[in-house]
Amino acid sequence: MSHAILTFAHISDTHLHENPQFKGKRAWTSRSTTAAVIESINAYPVPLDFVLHTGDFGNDPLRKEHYLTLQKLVAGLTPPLHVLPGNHDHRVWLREIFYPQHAMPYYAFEVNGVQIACLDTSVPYQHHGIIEPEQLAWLDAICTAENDKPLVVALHHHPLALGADAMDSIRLVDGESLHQTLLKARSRVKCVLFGHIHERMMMARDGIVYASAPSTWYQSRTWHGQGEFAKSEVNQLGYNVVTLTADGGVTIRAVSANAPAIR
Amino acid sequence: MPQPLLTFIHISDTHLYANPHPSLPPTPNPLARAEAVIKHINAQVFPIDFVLHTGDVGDDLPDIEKYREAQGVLKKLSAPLHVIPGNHDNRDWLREVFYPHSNTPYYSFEHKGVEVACLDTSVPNQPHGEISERQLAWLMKICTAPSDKPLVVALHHHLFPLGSLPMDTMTVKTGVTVHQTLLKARARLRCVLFGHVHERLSFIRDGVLYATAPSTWFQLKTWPGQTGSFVIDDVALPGYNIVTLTSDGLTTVRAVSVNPA
Repeated sequence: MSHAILTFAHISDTHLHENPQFKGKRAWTSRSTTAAVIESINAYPVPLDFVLHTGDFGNDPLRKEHYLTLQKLVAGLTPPLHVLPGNHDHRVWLREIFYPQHAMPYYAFEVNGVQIACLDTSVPYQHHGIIEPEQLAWLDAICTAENDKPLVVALHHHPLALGADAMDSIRLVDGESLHQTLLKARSRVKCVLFGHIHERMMMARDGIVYASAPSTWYQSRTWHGQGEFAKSEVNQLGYNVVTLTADGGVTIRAVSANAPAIR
Repeated sequence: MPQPLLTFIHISDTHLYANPHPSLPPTPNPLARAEAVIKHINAQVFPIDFVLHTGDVGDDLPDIEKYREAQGVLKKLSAPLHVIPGNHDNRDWLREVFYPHSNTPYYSFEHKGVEVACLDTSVPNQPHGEISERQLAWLMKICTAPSDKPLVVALHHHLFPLGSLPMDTMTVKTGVTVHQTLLKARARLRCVLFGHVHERLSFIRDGVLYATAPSTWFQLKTWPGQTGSFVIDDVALPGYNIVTLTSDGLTTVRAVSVNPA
């Protein structure tokens, strides 16, 4: 095969909490499921260039110091970690703890000649997502740059409607603007990665492919015509391994992890 | 809200009635697993237009009667079923039992204004895939037709190498040619669905989404740079995908796991 130029793990929605026993109404603590996924990632048979976390790193942390506590929970990850804010994150604190080198909660970085743009779609204390005009202009500049580097875009919210009322009420409200902006770099955009919905899904439109990672914690399920939220008791927690190859291709492998033995 | 044009289920690699597989460690009963998946699909609350099975319906079945038996199992699906041959199928028996209205093991059908092209990549008694010149010409005709109907393409084998030695000996030999052909219909091509690899994964090439369904039987795992022989994934559950096409050009592929226990 055309050789791999980049291989990374996409994880999402760890929902880590300062209370070690936190599990909401779920079967497992979010700490225990995150630990299970970290173990699986560290055991991946080939080295991963980095881990990309598409938000809801924390579960509504009340103080900046909580992020320091939560950061220690992922310190055992072998590859470097990149995170972006979700609706349950505090974007200022997240940035200050995880990427203080960037002035804004959205940022871009480059590894092995691949550009990765990390968006901030969070709205303080709201569950839906918005991209402010300033950020959209920043993304537009990336997408219209005279550049032939492969581009991966990451964000928390689902940009396109799922046809499911409850989930769509918390989607990225101006997803259409995002989509139109990405189309300007259609040949460079290799994939768009998101989380938020706690469901493994691929969405394709106009040659742009959007892929979600499941939550590392609990899973939901949606369908076209759905009204209320629905949990999935069967769908597995896990992550994706994304490989970009020199011929311009992308392979996204779904990896499932065992739910932890200790709840 | 864009309206769904079509919602269908993608399943693959039922491998009836292998047990146990001669070349692998002890594996679960494929019949019980297929039945668990069928039951799960039938219990979905939304309308399902059809079920698309991307091959390895049977596991080297000895005669056509066994295909009739397999059809009896798959007929428990509430939705209509469309199948294509995999490397473990006998394409003549499969066609005769499941789609005798077609003269060739490849065919296309239309449902609610969506065109579905079902390829035959099987090569008798070989694990890899090929597409004959004649079939490629047929596909080219579909891909260059002056049509704006949404197009879904289904095949058994993976068109592109995974970078995994054991699996990549079994790709479609002319995968790039097939891809180039499909690109001629890029504007209406919604997705390309395949199976064979027993792993939930997707390829993205030139903006085209290629998505597998997992096997309903057991899962394998691959990774870039893998050498050696097949590795069973004893964590990933069997399952299927829900594919929805909406009127705004969006294709959504949802992953569903099924607990066979």
